Amino acid sequence: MSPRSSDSNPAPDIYVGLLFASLAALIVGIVFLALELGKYGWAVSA
Amino acid sequence: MTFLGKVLVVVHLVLSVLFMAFAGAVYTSQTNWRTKHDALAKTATAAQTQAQTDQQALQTSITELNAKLAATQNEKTTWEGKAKSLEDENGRLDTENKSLKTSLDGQRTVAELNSQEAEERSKEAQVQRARNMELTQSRSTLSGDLNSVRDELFSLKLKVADNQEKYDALLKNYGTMRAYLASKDLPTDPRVMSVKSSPPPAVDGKILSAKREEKGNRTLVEISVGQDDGLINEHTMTIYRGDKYLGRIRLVDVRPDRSVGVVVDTAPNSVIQVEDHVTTKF
Repeated sequence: MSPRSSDSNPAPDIYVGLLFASLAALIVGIVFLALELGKYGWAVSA
Repeated sequence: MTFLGKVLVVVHLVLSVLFMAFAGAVYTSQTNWRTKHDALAKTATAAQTQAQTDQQALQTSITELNAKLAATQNEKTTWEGKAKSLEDENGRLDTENKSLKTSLDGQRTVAELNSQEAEERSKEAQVQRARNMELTQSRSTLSGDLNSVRDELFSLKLKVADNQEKYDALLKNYGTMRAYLASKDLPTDPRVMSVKSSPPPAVDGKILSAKREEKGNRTLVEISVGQDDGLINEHTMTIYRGDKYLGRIRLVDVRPDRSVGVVVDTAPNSVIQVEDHVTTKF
């Protein structure tokens, strides 16, 4: 890995946006799964 | 940012999107298995209850069926006994049937014999009927003859009655005449009267014996002729030897083949002996 310069403050690029988008997708998926688990009363054992 | 970081970001984004899509799909289209589980659990409980009820009912039915089975077995035993009894009865009836068949054959034979006998009797009856007709005709003829005979018998009875009257009158006259002849010392025996009125038949015989009575002066001789030769009492016969007259006898006891006579006349100096001849011809 190449060393990073400490004086430059990189500006957010498209890939940061993509990371936020993937974060949002993960949160939405987790919500869906939580809602689904709520239907079963949060019982995880068989 | 390096190229690898960029690739990882993109992959991370893709995988996040996929995760979100799958989670949304699960949330929107997934079936609520818990509700179905509860419904099925209720159904199972009801089914179990029903099964217990059915099991109890089935147990009751099994008990009843066992009782029925026991009763049926008892009945089966009874019926088997009856079947055996019926088999025995059937065997006895079979034997009796055979006996009856044998008897029937015998009776059939007897019936055939009786039928033949009846036919023969029918033929005999026809013959007897024809004979009866002949006898009827004969009876009619004999009846006519009987009537004729009865008529003749009636006329004969009339004649007999007439003759009886004549006989009674003649008998009365006969008695009167016998009394009259007796009063005049005349013979009343018809045979003596016939001797006096008609000559004796021509008979020749011999003297079988001659004997003089011890008491009295009569000489009795036995001769070889009698009633069979036509002689009767009071007939007189001449005794001779060769051409010499010896005397006469009067018959006093005449038998069928012998007679006894009393010497009523003797020639002088003559002796009557055995083997001298007697005759009625002189």
